[in-house]
Amino acid sequence: MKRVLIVEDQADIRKLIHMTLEFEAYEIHEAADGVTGLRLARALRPDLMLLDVMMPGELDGLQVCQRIKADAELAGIKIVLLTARGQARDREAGSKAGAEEYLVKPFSPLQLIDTIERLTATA
Amino acid sequence: MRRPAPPRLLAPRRWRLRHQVLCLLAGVTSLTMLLLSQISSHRLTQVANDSAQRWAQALVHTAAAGAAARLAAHDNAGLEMGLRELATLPGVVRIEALDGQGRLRVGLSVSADRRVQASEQPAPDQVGLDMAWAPIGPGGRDGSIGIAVTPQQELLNLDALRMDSVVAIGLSGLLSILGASLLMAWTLAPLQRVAAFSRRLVRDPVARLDTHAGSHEVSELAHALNEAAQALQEQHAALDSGDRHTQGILGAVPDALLGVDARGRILSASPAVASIFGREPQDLIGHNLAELLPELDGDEMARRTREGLYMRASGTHLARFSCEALRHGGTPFPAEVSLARLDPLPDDADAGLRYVCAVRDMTDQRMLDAMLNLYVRALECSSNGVIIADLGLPGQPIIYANAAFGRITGFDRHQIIGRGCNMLLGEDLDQPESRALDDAIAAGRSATVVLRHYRADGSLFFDEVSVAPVLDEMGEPQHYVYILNDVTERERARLAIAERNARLNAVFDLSPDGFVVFDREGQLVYANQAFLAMTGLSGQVLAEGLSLAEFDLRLASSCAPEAPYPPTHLAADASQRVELLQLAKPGARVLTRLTRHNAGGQGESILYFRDVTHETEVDRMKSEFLTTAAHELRTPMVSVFGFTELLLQRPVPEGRRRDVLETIHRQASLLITMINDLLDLARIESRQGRDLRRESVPLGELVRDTVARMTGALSGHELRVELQAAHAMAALWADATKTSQALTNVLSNAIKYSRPGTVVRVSSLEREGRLGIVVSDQGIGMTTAQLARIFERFYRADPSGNIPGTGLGMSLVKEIMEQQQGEVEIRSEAGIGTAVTLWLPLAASAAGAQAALPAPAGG
Repeated sequence: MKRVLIVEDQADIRKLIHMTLEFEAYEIHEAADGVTGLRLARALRPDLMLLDVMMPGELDGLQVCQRIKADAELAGIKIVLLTARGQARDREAGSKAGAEEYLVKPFSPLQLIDTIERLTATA
Repeated sequence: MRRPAPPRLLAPRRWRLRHQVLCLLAGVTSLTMLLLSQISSHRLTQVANDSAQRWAQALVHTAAAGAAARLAAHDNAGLEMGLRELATLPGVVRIEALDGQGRLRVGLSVSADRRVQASEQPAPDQVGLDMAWAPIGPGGRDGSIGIAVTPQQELLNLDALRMDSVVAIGLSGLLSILGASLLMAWTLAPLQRVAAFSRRLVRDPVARLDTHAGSHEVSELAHALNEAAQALQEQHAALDSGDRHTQGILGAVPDALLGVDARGRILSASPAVASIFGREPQDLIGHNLAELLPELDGDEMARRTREGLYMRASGTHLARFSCEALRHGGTPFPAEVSLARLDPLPDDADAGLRYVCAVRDMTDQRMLDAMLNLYVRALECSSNGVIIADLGLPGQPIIYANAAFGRITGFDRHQIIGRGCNMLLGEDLDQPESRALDDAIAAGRSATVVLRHYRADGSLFFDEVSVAPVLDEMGEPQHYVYILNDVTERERARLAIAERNARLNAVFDLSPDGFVVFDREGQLVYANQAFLAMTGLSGQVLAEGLSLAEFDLRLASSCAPEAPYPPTHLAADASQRVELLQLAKPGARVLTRLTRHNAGGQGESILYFRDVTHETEVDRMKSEFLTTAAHELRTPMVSVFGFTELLLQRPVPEGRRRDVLETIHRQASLLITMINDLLDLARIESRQGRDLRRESVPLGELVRDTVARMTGALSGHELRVELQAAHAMAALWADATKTSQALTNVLSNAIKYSRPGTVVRVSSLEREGRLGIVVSDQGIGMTTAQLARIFERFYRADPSGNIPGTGLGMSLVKEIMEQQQGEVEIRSEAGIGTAVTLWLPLAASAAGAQAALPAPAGG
C-alpha cells in the first residue's frame, strides 16, 4: 500500500484530496504546513507527497520539495506540487526544485488519481 | 654745383702785406739814413769849420799874446819858435805873423804829415783856408798873427761819429724790420687762418672759425666770416634742396621727358627714358623722336600742337594724345603723350628746343583699367547687393550700387545714388541692429547685422548687411562698403528654429523625463533638470563636460548591484532600444533609457531617460495583484470544482454529501464575496472618491445602524457600543454607506479573529477636529510583521482558510477612509487584541475646510 502525504494549509482541500483518494489503496497522511510536512516526510517516508506551494509558515512547498530532494534518503519520494500559480515561471521553479509533477489548482480529482497512480506505479 | 673759379691766376701778383710793410720800413730807414747823412754832412762841415774857426781864434789870441813881444822885438826866430809850438797843435795848418805893416814875418805851414815848414806862401791845399787873425797891439799896429786851422781832423772825427750813427740807424732799422716782420708774422697769422678758412669755406660751409684768437679786429672779422659762413651754409642748403627738389622731380617723374627740336631730333632726355624706353638718356640725344614714337615726326608734332590747346601764360601749344611707342628692341606699348610746343626764340634756328614731349607708359594703366573693369564687372555679377557710401560727403550718400542691389531691393539703382543708406529702413527706423551698424561706422569698424529692410514696393525683407570701411592712405575710412544679402528665408528659418528651440527647451525643462545630449566627440553638452534630479548627479557634470565613459561610470556607480548598468552605445543602430537601469542611489529607481544617435547634423547623441519607478512598481503590483487574485480565486475553486467532480463521479453517502455541498457552498460564497470586494475596491480606486456622497452623518446613528446589521455575524461575541455622548451627537462629514461598509469590515475582522465570548467594543475619540471610531477586540492580535502587511491585498493573517476572508477587507477600509480625508490607525498585540480606529473629519470643521477648497470632489 502506497503511502501518500498531503501537505496543504487549507482544510477543505485536504478534505477533498482525502476524499478523492479514499477509494484507492493509499495510506493517507496530512500536514497543514511545510515544517510539519517535512517532519512527517522524514518520519513516514511516504511514496508520494502532495505539496501545496503557497503555505504560511517557515517553509513553503518549494522549500520543502528542495529539502527532500536534497536529502539522499528522502530523494526517492515522488512529489506532486499543487499550486494556484500556473504560470510557466512557476512551473519552472517547481521542476527546478525537483518535483515530479505540477498540478494547477483547481485540479480534477480524477486527474490527481491518475497522476498519483502513474507516479507510484513506476516506483 | 658750378661755381666761378677764383681768378687767382689772372690777378697780378700781390705782395704780401708783411713784405710790403718790411719794404716800407727798409725804404724809410734807408731814406732816413740818406737824409741824415746829407744833413749831417753839411752840418758836420759847418760844425767842423766853426769849431776850427773858434779853435783858430783861440789859438791866434794865445799866439798874439805870446808873440806881441817877440814881434815888437822883431825876434823872428823866437817868434818862429813860439809859433812852431803852436803849429804842432792839432788842426793848425798855417800860421802867419805879420808886422804892423803887413809884412810877413813868419810863415809856417804844416804838412799833411804834421811837419811844420816855414814857408812864406801857404801850401796849395791851404789856400782858401780862413785865417784867424789877431791884432797885436792896439789896432794892430804891432802886427797881427793869423792862424789857419784845418777842420779836416774834426771832419774826420765827425765822419767817424756819423758813420757810427748811420750804422746804428741801419742796425736799428734792421732790428725794426726784424721786429716788424715778427710782429706782422704774429699779427697776420690769424688773418692767414681767416684767409685759409675763407678758401675752405667755399668747399665746406659748415666750418666755423675760432673767434677768440688774435686781435679784436681779427675776432670781429672771424665773427663776420662765421655769419657769412652761416648765411652761405643756409644758402647752400636752400640751393641744395632746390637742386635736389628739381633733380628729385626729374627723377621721380615717371614720365619720360624729351626735348625735341623742330625737326624732331631729341635734344634732351630725362632719366625716366631709361625705364620707359629701355634706352639710356644720353644715347638718345641727336636721334629722331620717331624712333621712340613712330607716329611723331616734325610735321605731325606741328600739326598736333597746332590743333592742341594754347597756353597763354606760358606761350605754349599743348597737345595730349595716346599713341603707340616703341621700346628698345621694337616692342610696342601704349603710351600717353603730352606734347608742348614752345614759341621759337627770335634767334633760334630749327636746331633749338621746340617741343617738350612727356611720354607716359600706359601698359600698367591699361592693365589697371582692365582689372578695375574686371572688379566692377565682378561686383556687378555678385548675387549680393553691394553699395558704396562716401563718408566725406554730407549725409554719407551712396555713390555706387551694383545690379544685385537693384534686384534685391527693387529700387532702380540710379535712383538711389546720392541717397543715404538708411533709406531701406523705411519707417522702421528704430532697430537696435541699425543703431549698432551706425555705431560701427562711426567707430570705423566692420560689422554684420540683420536688418528689417523694405523694398521699393514696401515689402519687408530681412537683410544681412555687412559693412566694411575702405581706408585711405592715412588709414582713415573715407568710404564704406555695404554688402546686402537677402536672408529672409534664412531669417524665417532661424526664427522658426529659435521658436522651436524655445519650445524644445521648455519641453526639456518641463519634462519629467531626463534628456542628456552628447556631442560628436562624445562629450556631455546638455542634461536637463529632470535627469539630474532622477540620477542625483549635480549640475556640475555640465560644467565638467563629462565624457561618455565618465558618464557611464557615474551612472554605473549609482546602479543597484543586482542589475548591472548597461553601458551606453551611441551607434546609430542603438536607437529605439529601450534599456532598463535600476538605480540604488539617490533612491531606488527604475529608469528606461533610449539612445538616439543623429548620424546627420552635428552627430549628436541624445539619451532619453524616463523614470518608470512608479510604473514599474504599479506594473509589478498589478501583476502581483492579478496573480494573487487569480490564485485567491482559484483556491475556493479547488473545493467547488473538486467536490462537484467527486459528486458527479462517485456515489457519496448522504451524510457526507451534505458536508460536501456545504463546503462547496461556503467556498462559492467566499468567491462571491471576494469578487464583490474586488469590484468594490476597483470602483473605489478608479472613481478616486468621485462617487462619494458626503454629508453630515451623526456618529451615533452611523455606529448604531452598522452594529445593528452585524448582529447576525456574531457567534457568541459581545458587541459593546460605548460612545461618548458628545461624540454620538457629533456629526461626521462622510459618505454614510461607505463609512458603514468600512466599519462593518473592521467589526467583521474583530469578530473573526477573536474567540467567541470575548468582547468587541466600539468607542469614540476626538482629536484635532476629527472623530475616531475605535473597534477593539480581545482576539489573536497581530505580530509587527503581520501588522505591516495588513493593508496588502489578499493578505491574510490566517491563510489556513479556517477563517473566511478575502484579504481585501482592510484594503477597502483604507481606501474608503483615505478618500474621505480620514485615516486608519491600528494598534495590535499578538495574543492580546487589536484596536482599529477610523478617523473622520467632523462635519463642522470639514465644511469650513470644504469652503476653502475650490473644487470639492462630488459624485
